[in-house]
Parts: sequence; C-alpha cells; structure tokens
Amino acid sequence: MIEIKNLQKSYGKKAILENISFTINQNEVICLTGLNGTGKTTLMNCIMGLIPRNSGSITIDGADIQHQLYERISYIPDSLTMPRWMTVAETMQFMATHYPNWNATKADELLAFFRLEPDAQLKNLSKGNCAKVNFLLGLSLDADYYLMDEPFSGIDVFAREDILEVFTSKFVQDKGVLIATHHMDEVEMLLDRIVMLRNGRIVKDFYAEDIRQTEGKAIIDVMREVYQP
Amino acid sequence: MIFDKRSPVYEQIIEMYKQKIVSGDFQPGQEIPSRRELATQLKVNPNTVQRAFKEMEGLDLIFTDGNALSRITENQEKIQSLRQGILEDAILSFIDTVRIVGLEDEAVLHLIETRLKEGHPK
Amino acid sequence: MKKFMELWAFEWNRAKRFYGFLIILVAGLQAYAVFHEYRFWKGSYERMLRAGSENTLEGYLNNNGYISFDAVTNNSFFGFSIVTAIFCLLFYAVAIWYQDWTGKDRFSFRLLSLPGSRFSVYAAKFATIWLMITGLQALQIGLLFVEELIFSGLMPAGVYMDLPLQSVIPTSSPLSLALPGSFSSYLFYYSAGYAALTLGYTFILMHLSVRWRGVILAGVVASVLLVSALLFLRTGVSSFLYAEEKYWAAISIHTILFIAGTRINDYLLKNRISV
Repeated sequence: MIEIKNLQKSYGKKAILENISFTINQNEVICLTGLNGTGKTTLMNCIMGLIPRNSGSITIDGADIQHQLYERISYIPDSLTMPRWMTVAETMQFMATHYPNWNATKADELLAFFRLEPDAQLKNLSKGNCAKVNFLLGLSLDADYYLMDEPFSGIDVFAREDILEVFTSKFVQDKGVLIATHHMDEVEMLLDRIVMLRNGRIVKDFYAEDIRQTEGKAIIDVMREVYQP
Repeated sequence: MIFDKRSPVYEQIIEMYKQKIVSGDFQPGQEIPSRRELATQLKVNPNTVQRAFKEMEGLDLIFTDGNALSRITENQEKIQSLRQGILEDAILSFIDTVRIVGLEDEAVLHLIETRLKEGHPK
Repeated sequence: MKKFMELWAFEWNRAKRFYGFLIILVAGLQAYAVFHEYRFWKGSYERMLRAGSENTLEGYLNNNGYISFDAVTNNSFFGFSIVTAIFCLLFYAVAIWYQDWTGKDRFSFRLLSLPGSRFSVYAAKFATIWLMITGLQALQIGLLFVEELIFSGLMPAGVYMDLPLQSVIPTSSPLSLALPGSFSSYLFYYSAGYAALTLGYTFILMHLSVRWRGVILAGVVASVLLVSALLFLRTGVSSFLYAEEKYWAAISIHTILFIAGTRINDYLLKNRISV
C-alpha cells in the first residue's frame, strides 16, 4: 500500500498541493482527477521523487519511498521521455538493462499487440505510436503499482481503444493503479476509487460503486457538482 | 454490454446473469468465465465482477467447487423461483406504468390478450 | 555498481560522435602545425642554400641553431588545438547535464526514476568526462610520438636535433597543462581541475534544483569562501610553510573540496533535484 500523508508542495509562496493524504491499495484502480493545472502531475512527480516536496511523507508498505524501491512502481509519464534518436528496441533494451523486473515476454506481446516496429526511430513515430511505446515500457515491468499520468491526452481515438484494451486485460489486474486524468468517460467503468483535487486539495475520495448505489450518480455527475457548482 | 453509469455495475451484472439463466442462455451447471475473463469481456473493473460473483454465490445462483471455474446452479427450484422473480418484477413495473396512464383493469387485460396473440400466433 | 557501469556505458555511447569529432579536430590542427613548421623551416633553409655558395650548413647553424621538435609544440596551431580541446570538453561537461533536463526529450524523468542509487547517474556523467580527458591525454602522447617521427623525417638531417619528448613540452603552454612534465605537477593541476569540475557541477545541480535562486546562492557561498581563503592567505600563514608543505596543503584542500563537492552533489541529486 502506498500511503501519502500531509503532502505539501509550494513554489515560493504559492501552494500547489496542500495537505494531500490518501492511500493506493495494491488491488485498486484509482483515478486522480481535477481540472487542468490543479496539480495532478505535480502530485505524481512528488510520489516518484522527481520534484522535491516541502513536507509530508510518502511510504510504500510503511517504508519511505526511496530510489531503491522504484522497481515496485512503474511510472508512465505523460510523454515518452526517451531520446529521439533511439529506436523502439533500444528503449526496451534500456529498460531491460536497468530494471530487474523487466518482463521480456510481456514486452514482445505488447509490441505485437500495438503493432509497433522495433527498429523504428522515435523521431519518426506519430504521437499515438509514441504513447503506445510509453505504455509498452511501463506495462512490461512486473511492478506492484502503476502510476499513469494522463494516458490519453493527445491520443487519437483508435490508439486510445488499443490502450484501453490493455487496461482491461491481464496486464494490470491485481495491481495498484493510479491514473491521473480528466478524461473520465474512457475509464469510468474501470475505476474502483476516485480522488478529486481542487485548488491543490483533495475534496473528494470515494468508491465508484458506492456513489452509484447510495446516490444514483455517475462519476461525471459528481465531477459536475465539484467543478461547476 | 452497455452499462448504466448511474447504478451499481455489480448489480447490473447480477441482473444480466439472472436474465440469461432464466432465458436459458446459461444452462444449469454451465461453467461461467473467470472473474478476470469476465472483467476483460465486459471492460469493467475486476473487483466489481468479484463483488457480483460473491453476491451471486450468496444468492445461490452460482457455485464454486474449490479452484475450478464457477458454474451456474443446477438447482431447478432456484431457477424456477428466479423466473418467478423476474416475472413479478416485470408485472409490477408494468402495473406501475399502466396506473400512470390510467386505463381500467378490464381494458388492460383485453389489450394484453390481443398483443400476446399477435406475438405468438397459434 | 551495475547501474553505474550500465549508465557509464550509455553516456559514453552518447558521447562517441562528439568525441570522435573532437579527436579529429585536435589531430588535424596538430598535423597542420607539423606541416606549417616543416614548410617554414625547410623553406628558410633552402632559401639560404640558394642564396650563395658561401652559405654553409655551419653558417646556417651558427645563425639559426638547430631545429627541434619544440618548433612544432610552440606553434600557435598546436597550442590552439589544446585550447580548443579544453573548451570542447568544458562545453560537453555542461551539456551532458542539460541535454537531459531541457529540450523535448526530458530524459531526466527516466534517469531519476531508475531503481538503485541516484549517485550512479552523477558518477556516470563524471566518469565519462574523466574518460574523455584521460583519453585525450593518451591520444596526445601518441600524437607527439607520431608527429615527432614525421617532423624529424621531413627535416633535412644536418639541421635537425633530436630532443627527448619530455623536454619538448614548453613550461607555460597549453600542452604543459594537458601533459604536465612531472607526476607532482600532474597531481597538483588535476586534483585542482577535478575539484573545480565537481564544484562546477554543484552550480549546475543547484540550477537544476532551485533554478536561478540556487545559482545565486551558490555564487554567494563560493564568493564568501573565496574571500575568506584569500584573507587567510594574506595573514602570511603560508610563509611559515616550506614549499613542499604548501604543496601538500594544496593537494589536501583540492581533495577536501572534491569530496565535499561530491557529497553535496549527491545530496542535491537525491533530495532537491527537479525534472
């Protein structure tokens, strides 16, 4: 379980994230949502130590998340973040070299599923294909947790379908998944929990089925209430 | 299957199974897909499917022998009472609608007879 | 350790093209220096011979002295080749960081989320620069041998005097910086150099961590240290020391700065860096 307690991140006097506390359980799919620029990416980056935080703790099964523990978390950033001159195969090789939990079989399956050419150079790939490579690299790691930052932004509808199919497949079952997105319609049926950010604070943290049962509302309805009162 | 996003998905899955058992799409004793497979097929969260399965087991609609795949109940009584239940629900819902329209009972019964004959000519 | 080796290989692989270009540039400039000196001296010798029969080899030697390989090493193209190499190395030492943090690729995301110690990221970059420097030094030694061979072969026999290569390195030229004559001066210059590189990296990491605020902060700290060091020296305490003691004191300071700088850089990379 990844536990985030009282996380605070400010740039100078401006607080981007305030008093953020929630947990990511290992068998839940959680959506971190909020309007553009409300700090979803900042929060993701804080969890991974890619930006420093001002205060608060982030632990994985009780231990402070340190770089040694990164093999338990597969982080899929919002863009490919690999050098343009590399080929698809070279990016896979890079991950395989550095991650003991790289699953080559999974990688080959995903390569075939996404119909990617291993020898294609990244600079020649379309944005949708780059997103698929990004996913391939993240999902080919046998991790306990998957953190995905805006998996669908800027992706055309057919690439999205391919990516969604992977979500519902065996690749991410029984894992802790945190998806930061405001494209709710795509993932609504896949979510266990939703955590809503507004102005850098968590305003709601609820189970999808609970809201449907007790209030007869869809997640989008709740979002409307929270973000467009 | 298209789900209604405003009511619990696990209930809708159970409803779907009930209907398929009653209609005969699912035979008694038939193996049903594993929780993971069903989640992939329906494109929903596996935990939701898990919840549905648990309820269905509680309702004796399905049973699981050890580690094998779950199967539809073979209990004919159970299936029969399920059939009853669905019929009851349909009738009650129909009556509610009819009350809103405000037709007399006689006219309603006559209408039902006519339509049923049209649907299943002898 | 494995992470370090893999990253080092990766950084080296990325640097190969630039390094190859640099080697060709240095070798080319030095080859031109050889050619230039050859033409100049051979020309002057032949002109003298043609001018009159009373001009003899002895006369020439009395006027001009023997020609030696130091003509080449003193040539401005030669010096320029080394200065160019130093600037190119400095450029790459900075670029090796910024290429991952700026630009479209943002490879820093990947580097910082790799499992294992983040120090390997730092060490791999530092070691790549070290390897480039050391490789150039080795190259320079090899080039000197080859250039000397060619130059002495081209020069007319009577006019040329062989000198041991070590004495051919002028005392205050860029070449003496690249290949210091003695081990002690090598240790002195290069311990200072690597300490300076480390502190330079502190500036870079401060910039990548807290942006310009950090650089200014680092600049202030550096200035304070520098001023206090100068004041300390002005107290004349160094006059109490023998030359040898001063030498070892300097080496110690270089080492301390190197170690302290490295630890600061490790801390910045682990706790303060931003993508």
